[in-house]
Amino acid sequence: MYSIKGGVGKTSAAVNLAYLAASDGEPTLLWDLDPQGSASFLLRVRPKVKGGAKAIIRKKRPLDAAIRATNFANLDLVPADLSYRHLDLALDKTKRPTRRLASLLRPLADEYSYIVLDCAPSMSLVSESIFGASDALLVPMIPTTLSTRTLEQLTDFLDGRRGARPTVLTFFSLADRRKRLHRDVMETMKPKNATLLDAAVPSTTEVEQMGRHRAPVNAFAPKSRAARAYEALWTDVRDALG
Amino acid sequence: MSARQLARRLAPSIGLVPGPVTHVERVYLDTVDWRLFRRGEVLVDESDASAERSLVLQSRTTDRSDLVVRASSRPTRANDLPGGLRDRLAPVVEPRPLVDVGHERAEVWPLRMIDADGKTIARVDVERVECDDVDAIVRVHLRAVRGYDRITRQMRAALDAQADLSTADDPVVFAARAKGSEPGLDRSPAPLRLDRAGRSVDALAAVLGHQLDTLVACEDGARRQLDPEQLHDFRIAIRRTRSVVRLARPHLSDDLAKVWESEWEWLATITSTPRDLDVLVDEITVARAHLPTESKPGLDELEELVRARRGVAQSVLTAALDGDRYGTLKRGWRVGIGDLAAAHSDPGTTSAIAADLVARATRQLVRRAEAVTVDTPIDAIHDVRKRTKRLRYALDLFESVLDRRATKASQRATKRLQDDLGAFQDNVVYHARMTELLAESSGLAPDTLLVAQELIATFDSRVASARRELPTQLARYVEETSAATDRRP
Repeated sequence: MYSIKGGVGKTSAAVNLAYLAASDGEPTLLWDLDPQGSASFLLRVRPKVKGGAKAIIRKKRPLDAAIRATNFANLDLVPADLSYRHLDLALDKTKRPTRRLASLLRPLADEYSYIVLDCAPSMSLVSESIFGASDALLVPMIPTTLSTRTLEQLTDFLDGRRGARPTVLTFFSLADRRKRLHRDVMETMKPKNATLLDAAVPSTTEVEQMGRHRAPVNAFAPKSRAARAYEALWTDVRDALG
Repeated sequence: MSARQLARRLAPSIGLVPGPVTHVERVYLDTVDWRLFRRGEVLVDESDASAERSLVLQSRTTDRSDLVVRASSRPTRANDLPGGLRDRLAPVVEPRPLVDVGHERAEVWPLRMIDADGKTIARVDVERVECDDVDAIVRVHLRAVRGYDRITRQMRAALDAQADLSTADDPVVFAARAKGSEPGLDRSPAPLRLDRAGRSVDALAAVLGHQLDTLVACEDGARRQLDPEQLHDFRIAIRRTRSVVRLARPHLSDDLAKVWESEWEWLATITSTPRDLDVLVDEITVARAHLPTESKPGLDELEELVRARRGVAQSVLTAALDGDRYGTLKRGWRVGIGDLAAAHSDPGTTSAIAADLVARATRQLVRRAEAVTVDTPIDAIHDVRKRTKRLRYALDLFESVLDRRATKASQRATKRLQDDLGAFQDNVVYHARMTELLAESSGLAPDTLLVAQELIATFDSRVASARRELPTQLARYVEETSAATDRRP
């Protein structure tokens, strides 16, 4: 789950999609790479990793040792740590920084059907390492003109880099159909953008309530509009991943 | 002390919060040869009082979290499992079916340790467990939560300090033993390695003894119809035994070579019908995917008919395996094998006899293969197939003392030929079994007859297609084998 911009509903989508994948009976791991630790907070796991970012990136401690079970079946988490704010520096000191996350995740491939990386908003060495480790980039966008420009920046960046290109899947997030601008952007972008998924996550109170319940929307309000939207989004993502 | 009393005592004393009591039924699933258990995994089919059903995959050897998947029915094959479970287990389990290796009913008093964030960091289930005829027990099950090892260790120490608790068997071990089996016990004999310079009679005795051990290891599975693959392995042990006896006849006493022949033939015959019917059931399953949905009632009745016939064949087989004739064969054969090793004074080496058996089997096969045309009668083609198997068994059984490279190449070519001949012969057998079934059954619904005729037509079409290909396939085999023989020093 990636976006150059912050505040676009990235963590909420990461937590809910990971939860839905796990509910489907697929062993799922969510790695909270954002030093703010919002995903860890939402899943009630303390944002602390022994040895911090340095120990994991330098392979002093296996990533496996940082995994915590959550309160939900089939969903495990690698919690955030404040030291992730220096992840760029830690990566920079390794031999192949852009392949580092992929190499850390490889031993877990047999164990998990899905690994969701919840990334901090940035365009940095961490982002490049994430691109190198991912099969797909899920990019949430608030339906505004600025978001479309940000998506173009990301596409240009991906086109300009070497190595395998992850599949880009975009979706509208925090969409408010009462707003004319949102409606217009959603309607004009749809035919132009082949990466755009059908499902859109609305701006609803249930998504905001996640912080109070400290759980995925689909766990505490499974019949809500937001929960249905995340389910539709999960179906789209699962189908796109094949 | 009851589970309830124990749960009530433990909760406050070690800082646990009780949850609502539940009643569950657990069926532990594994293959008859314990493939999951031996890999350190346990698959449990768990249903609660509200009929909610989950399949739970637990690791006995790692700290992996349990994998929990909702299910609507109990799976019998790993390929029928839902996504994540299937991907993980099918490569290990298939083609063996998943069978009930132990079951229990439990009244569960769940206790949890929850931290200040509301996160469960330790789980202890106090359970009253009933298991077959064994007296009910009260079990305290500490379930580690991944990533909270320190808490788990503290919890274990706290439980160890309880004077009235003692360490119990792993739940799957307890349930399996209550059912009369020993988890993880693989009854099949260890792979056989022969001594190249050893005496040939000792090698023959070892090979025949190994096949007898394999037969005995599969006997229970074949008798109780736990797994069609066990009957298949049982039959292969019979075929391998007969093949070695035929090929090594000049080296064997009359007792071994001739006296028991009719008995082995009898055993092969009584296992043949149930095996053919097992495969016919598989064919019907495959047909379900191809035939239109209107064929379903017909396929259902046909499958029921085949299964009923399979039941009758099983009764005959079980009676035979429990009878004196089979017991006498096993005992007599074991004595004969012992005498073989003791009798000969100058028998030659193992590698010499292995090369001799393979050369003889190859010659016999090539001679018959060369004679096959598109008009060759079915029985003659069946004979070629038997010779092919005979060679394949000789190569496999004496592999450890044969030239490695030449043997691998020969095994590949023989395996391919065996498959080609199988495509012909198997469908001939399916046709015969299905025709026999229809002739012996009356009052079948028109839908069923129609489906049966469609299946027979499919078998016939496969036979015709395989027959067209056979002369070319056999000629290629003969050519490759002759070229390889010429290259040998």
